[in-house]
Amino acid sequence: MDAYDRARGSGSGNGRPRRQAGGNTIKGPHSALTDYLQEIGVSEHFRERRQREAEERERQAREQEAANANTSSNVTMAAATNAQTADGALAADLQGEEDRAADVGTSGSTRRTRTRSQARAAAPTAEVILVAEPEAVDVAVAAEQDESQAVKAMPKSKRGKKKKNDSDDEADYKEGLNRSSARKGGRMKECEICGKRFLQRGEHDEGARVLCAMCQRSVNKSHGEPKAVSKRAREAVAREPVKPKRKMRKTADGLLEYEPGPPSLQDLCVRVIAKHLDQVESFGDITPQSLNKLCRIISKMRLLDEHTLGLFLGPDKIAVTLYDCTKINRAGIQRIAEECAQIQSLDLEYCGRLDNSGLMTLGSHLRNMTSLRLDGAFLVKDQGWAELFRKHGPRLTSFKVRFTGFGIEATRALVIHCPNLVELRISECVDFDDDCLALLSAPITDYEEEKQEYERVVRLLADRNKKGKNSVVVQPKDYSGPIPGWKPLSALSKLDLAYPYKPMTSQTTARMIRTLGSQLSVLDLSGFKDIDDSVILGALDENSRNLEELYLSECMGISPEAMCEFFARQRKKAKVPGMGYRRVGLKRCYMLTDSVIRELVLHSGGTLRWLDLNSVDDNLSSLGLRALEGAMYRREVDDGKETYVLAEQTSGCVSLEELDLSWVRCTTDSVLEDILKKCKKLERISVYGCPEVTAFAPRRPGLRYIGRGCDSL
Amino acid sequence: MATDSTAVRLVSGDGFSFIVDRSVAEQSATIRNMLDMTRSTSLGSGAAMFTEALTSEVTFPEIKGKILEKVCQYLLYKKRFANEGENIPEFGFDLEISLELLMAADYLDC
Repeated sequence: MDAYDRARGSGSGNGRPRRQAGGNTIKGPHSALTDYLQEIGVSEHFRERRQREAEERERQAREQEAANANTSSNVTMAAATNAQTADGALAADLQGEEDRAADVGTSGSTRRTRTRSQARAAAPTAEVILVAEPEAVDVAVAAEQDESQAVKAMPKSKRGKKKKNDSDDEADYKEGLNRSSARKGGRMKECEICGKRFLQRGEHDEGARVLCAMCQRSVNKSHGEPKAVSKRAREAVAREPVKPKRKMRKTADGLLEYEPGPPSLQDLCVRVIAKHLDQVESFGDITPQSLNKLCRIISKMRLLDEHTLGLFLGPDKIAVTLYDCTKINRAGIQRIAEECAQIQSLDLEYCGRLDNSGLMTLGSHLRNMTSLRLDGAFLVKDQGWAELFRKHGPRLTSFKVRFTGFGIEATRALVIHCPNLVELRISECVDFDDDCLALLSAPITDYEEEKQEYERVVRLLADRNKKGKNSVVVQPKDYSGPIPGWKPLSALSKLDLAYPYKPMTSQTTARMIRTLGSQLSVLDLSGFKDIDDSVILGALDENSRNLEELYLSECMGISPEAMCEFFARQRKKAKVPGMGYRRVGLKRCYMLTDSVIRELVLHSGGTLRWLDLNSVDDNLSSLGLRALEGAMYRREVDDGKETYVLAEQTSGCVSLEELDLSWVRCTTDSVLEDILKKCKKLERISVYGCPEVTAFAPRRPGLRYIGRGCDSL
Repeated sequence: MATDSTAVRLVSGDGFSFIVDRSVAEQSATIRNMLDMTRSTSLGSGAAMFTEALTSEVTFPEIKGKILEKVCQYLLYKKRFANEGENIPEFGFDLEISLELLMAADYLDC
């Protein structure tokens, strides 16, 4: 037991210098509870120690009982147990001490680095300074050697235990990027001798023949190799080379972000820098693209906090995008507002700490901001948004929010105070309901009219004050003059209201489309589950002159027949046949039929670049999918026998670049082959949950399959 | 000047020069454009060949020798493994030069 303890101790001891060298150990995402426990000092070690102590006590109690039972002869043994227990407890305590010391050490060293970095920052150097602390690195290397020696010195059984504790997985995970939990995958191969397909697992030697198990066995026999290698020996051979195994896992891991061929030098550099972010003082003159990439990776590793925030800010930044603002508090927001006064477009994700006052700070400091995107600002309430629009609404041209308290008051203010909006997204907001949607068209109730008039007066007075016409500031309630009438958002061309939490009625949706539809180029009504055929056949059909992108995902109230009819009518209206939408999303419209796809292709075949048919599975057949390559089949019933006849061969979706066929189970290799023949530009096909798409699906340079079963993640 | 027509000389800001095969150097899009002999014909009369294409020598005043050496190693690595889908070994470099290397890679578009 105590030997084991010591081994554990040395293991965690070896973790420490590395932590010191890194300062910021890279960690995967973890829960708020873990964060909290860490903050108040409850660590993994603490828990482990508690558990060990409990076990120890239990064992002691048991042994005590046993000792009591055999009264006389076991005195010496009990004494020995006690000594041992004491020893164990001591070891545990010691380890705890060490850990605490390590923590102090780590924080001390970070503090040191920080002060130094501040000193550096004070000196006016435009140069890039990247310091690798040589001593720290040496220590880490030495520690690693120590560890390996310790492992060697340990007896075999212990080594197994150690391995379990400090598992490969964990190390990989801590290392950082691309560490999804990947199962060990296999590869479909064709046997060289019998031609049978088989699943090859494990590493395969370069240059060795690809043989299935049967053929391999017979070959081995003919070569006179010993047939029965004991299982253990085989395992030993298989276990020995550790490196190839890791390489394989990496391939499987990176599959989603898989780039064929060697990675670009820029990417390599960005990855290394992100890994050692704590040692970077300033990035210097790297291009916005690289900076963006760095920010993405750093956000993914959840390392963006007040220390690293400064790396992405600067007085000359026009656009700032931060992908993870979870750790950025009020002071951080203040810093963004103060340090980057030139920002025109601000883009923050996961900004769960942003509140009403933080939002106003941003609004009032960033005088040039025209584009604002905030994801997950759930602390900002209805009032907060309304206030922002009253003060800074007129200059906004693009406004996008998701997951926030955007309700009726905010919407009302938006419609009146932001007349210059070109892009608007309000998606997945809990408070956004049918009444809010109604505000995008002219008010019909007196109550609403009254409410809006007040806002309009506020706007009018604010505008007058800005122009300096009024020497006396009039309060809105004291104003008695003509009130401006209702105006639609006349500049708006992109509208995204996807996935509302509250049900949206057909009536209101149709009203909104009648008001804004004809000026829109992008319309996203995904998740409007309650709208029915009348919306697309009535309002949308009449008011979609300029539409280029249409998303109707999860609109399950719309029947396939209506969808067909809609595309057919649009086709008749189109000036050039086959020139329609560029992007169409029909995800999870489960009931769609082959004829919908046919009509869609006839309508927008020439222009369609992006198509999402995820989960459109219930009524779709492979003949429907073949419409994508232009082959239009017609069903003919002859003497009660159904036949499908190729009615027409059109050019199909010639410009299609991205296609999502996940969970469309009629997708097969041969269908894809036909589609790929016509869709020369296709670069990306998603085929999650399509068991018929195998490793033998057609391939060509530049084409990527995402989610194929045989790639086995 | 490199005498062999298939070799290119890359000169760093601090005077180091690296002689690499043209096909290796052309793994970088920037260098490829610099050395493009067909520019004058393909882009009409307005565009002309760069001097670099004639002399087969490119000078990078902004890039230090140490960095350029690593860049050359990378270009070779990229050429060598361009057609291999799997089993590409990792390309290693020192942490100290990563930022400068990133800037060079940005410029050279590789």
